[in-house]
Amino acid sequence: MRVLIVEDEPLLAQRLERFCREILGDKLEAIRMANLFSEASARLDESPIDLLLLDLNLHGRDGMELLASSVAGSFHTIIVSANTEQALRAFEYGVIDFVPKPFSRERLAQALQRVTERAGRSAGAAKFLAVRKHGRVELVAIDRVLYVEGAGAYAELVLEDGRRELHDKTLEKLHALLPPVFERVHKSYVVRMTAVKALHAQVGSHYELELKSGTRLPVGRTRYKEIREKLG
Amino acid sequence: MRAAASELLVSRVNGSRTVSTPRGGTRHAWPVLRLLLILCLSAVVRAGVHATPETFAKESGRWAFPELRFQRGDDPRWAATDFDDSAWRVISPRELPSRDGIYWVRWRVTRHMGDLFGPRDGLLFKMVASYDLYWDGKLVGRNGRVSTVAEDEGPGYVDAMFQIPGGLLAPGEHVIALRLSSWNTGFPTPTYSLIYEWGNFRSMLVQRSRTAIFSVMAVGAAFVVAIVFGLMWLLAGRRFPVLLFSLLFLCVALMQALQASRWLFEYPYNWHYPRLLASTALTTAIGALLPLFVLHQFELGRRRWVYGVLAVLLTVAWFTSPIYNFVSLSTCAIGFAMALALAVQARALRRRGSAVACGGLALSVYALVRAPRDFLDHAFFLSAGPAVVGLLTTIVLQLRDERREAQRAVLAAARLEIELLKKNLQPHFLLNTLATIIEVIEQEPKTAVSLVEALAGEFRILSRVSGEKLIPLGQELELCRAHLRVMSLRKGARCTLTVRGGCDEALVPPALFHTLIENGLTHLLPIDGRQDFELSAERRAGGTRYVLRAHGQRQPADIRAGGAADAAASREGTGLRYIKARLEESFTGHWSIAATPVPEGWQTVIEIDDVGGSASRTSAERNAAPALPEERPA
Repeated sequence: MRVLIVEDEPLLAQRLERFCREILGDKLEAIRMANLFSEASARLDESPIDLLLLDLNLHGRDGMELLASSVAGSFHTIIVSANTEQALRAFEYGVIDFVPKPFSRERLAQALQRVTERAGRSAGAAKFLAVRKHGRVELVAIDRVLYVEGAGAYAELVLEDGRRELHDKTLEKLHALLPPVFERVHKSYVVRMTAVKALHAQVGSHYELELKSGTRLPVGRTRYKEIREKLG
Repeated sequence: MRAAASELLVSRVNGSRTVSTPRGGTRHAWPVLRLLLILCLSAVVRAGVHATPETFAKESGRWAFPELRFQRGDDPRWAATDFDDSAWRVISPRELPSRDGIYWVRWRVTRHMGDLFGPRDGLLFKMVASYDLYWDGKLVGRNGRVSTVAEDEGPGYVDAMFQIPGGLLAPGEHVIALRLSSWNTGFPTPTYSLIYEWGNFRSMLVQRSRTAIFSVMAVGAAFVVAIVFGLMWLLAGRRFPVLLFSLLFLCVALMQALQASRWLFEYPYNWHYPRLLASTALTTAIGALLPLFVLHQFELGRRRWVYGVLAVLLTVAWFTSPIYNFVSLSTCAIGFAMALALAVQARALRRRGSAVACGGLALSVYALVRAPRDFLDHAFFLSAGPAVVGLLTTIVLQLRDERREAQRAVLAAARLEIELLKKNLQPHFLLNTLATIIEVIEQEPKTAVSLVEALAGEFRILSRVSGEKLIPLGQELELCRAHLRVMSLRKGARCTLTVRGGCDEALVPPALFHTLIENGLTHLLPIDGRQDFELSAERRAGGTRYVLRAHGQRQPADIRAGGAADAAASREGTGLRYIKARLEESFTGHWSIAATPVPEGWQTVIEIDDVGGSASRTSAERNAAPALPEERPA
């Protein structure tokens, strides 16, 4: 795992780095530090990361913009901040965890676990997904998302009105942020279960979900049973 | 003669273009005001031209003005019913001579049958003379002692009532004869008037006691108002308009007391002239105080002009008529009309409460024009009532505004104190510091001790200064250095403050520079492990100039904002808001702040004038340059 720590107080940056090394052990591939996110973000294309530990004061427009451009990235974001009253807002934007300062090793380990575990989910409820469009970051309300289709390193959000938005995160990472109403039905699909009309079994162990919009999506063989139970 | 004086009065009014010149956008209101003034005054003057005792009496219908037979000399036979007075001179009741020995007058009255309200057995005389009264040749009463020489005369009462014995009241014609002398009148005029009323004795007594009621009530009310506002002036702020209001009502109370005294206390006729003089002087004072109050209450300009015109008009009023009641009425009319004109001007300038004052004064002026005779008499408080209520409302409105303003100031001070404490107790400072402390406890316990000590030091100073509005610069610098010690340890950089110029005693709001340094630490990055602040405090003529220069590398967002002022101008950091509120609290209108990016970082210039120094600065001057952008990451 490649980690970037953005923290302008050296003693705290040092503490975060030490904990990351201890907790992640061999899983840690690289760790970098920066004073400011804007400083580090320019180089993310050349040396991509999997996790960002960000100290951010969300007061004002600049803070929210920074957060939006961070969560639009391909990596997970953990906010490490003393401004706990901003935690809810951060979760709405789709951070995977919010670690309040001062923090202990245990609390940081818990946050890192959400990123490293296969079935790790966000600690809060995201309301938006930030997508990068024409160099700008736009927020898409999760309420409007019908399903997400994986496309390699990217994922495509399919909205109620049929529009599609490309997201930089993988399907897996996005699934970690989405609320529980979204289920992984196939290796390439995460679907909002409330949008499902019916589950069809086809000839030859082919299974399909029919959405209320009429769209039909394939269901993974291994996941069929689970989905059928959930739909009742 | 009187008509000429009235014309003079009117022409003065016409000439008074500059009673008070309106400022700015009120020019259009001025012709209206002038017209109003002229209308009011001319109406009163017209009423006054015809204002003789006869006209007043004819209007009121109570008082009798008989044709008199007049004869100088003294002869007891002249009292007899059947005495032939046809050779005597016929005069009007206004032509009785003052200071002219003893003389007699005779006239006839007729009693008809069927008096509705009991027998007409009462006679009430109002005269500045001593006299003996004969009814059908019989002496019915004496008022004072009639005499041929001044020294020997015993002055009678101004108002005297007599009861006619029942046997003398048969229906038909009766003869009234008076034997008079008037040596002690005091009035400068050579003649005086005979005014009398003939009616039922009992009901005349009742009528007389009833007349005083309104005046007595007015005295009480006016005294209370005068005392309340006098105390208010004495104990609560010494505002000039409040004093004027108190004096105005003192005059009203005294004037009404004088009016009431006639009905409550009998007095000899030689007191009548001084009493009228005093009463007229009091109404003149009322006529002056009323517009002065409006002038000062609404803070109108051109005061000298108003004083001048008022003085001229009131002086002229004294010479318009030999009848003092009319002079009183004129002075009152001048006062009310000018007060109304000034109130209308105040309304045009949108002064607080001026609409109510206008309404009240207009109603009173209307009452004065419609019933001038009643205005001064017992109905004074009914007619002047609307004006009184209007003016009282203005004062009360102003007091309410002042109290709200005071409350607001107290609240603002409390809020600023809380804000100062919050600035230092807010999570991002305290929690970040605690996070650092935890780290150093584990890693370098020695540093942990100094960090905790530095933090404790900062809070000790803070608790000392947080309740103050102003603290010495020396104490403020102590606070800044304590903060920099904490931040040096947290940032792992050397954060220092150098001070040039020795103004340690100069007073500044608490956390003034502390806030600026905090902002600098947030927005600038250390260069080569150093972050320096430089403060120069410089005394100059009329004030002190502080320049705080923060050295460091500007963050990218700031460099953008520095180039285009829009982002910074659109919002203002809480820190800067705190500084401005504090400066305004202590140096209202006498300070300025300008923050600009400079190559080495940020520079903030604060200028504070010595109190009472140069003129107030406009808000545009106070915010001469875009301020620091909002605080960001801690």
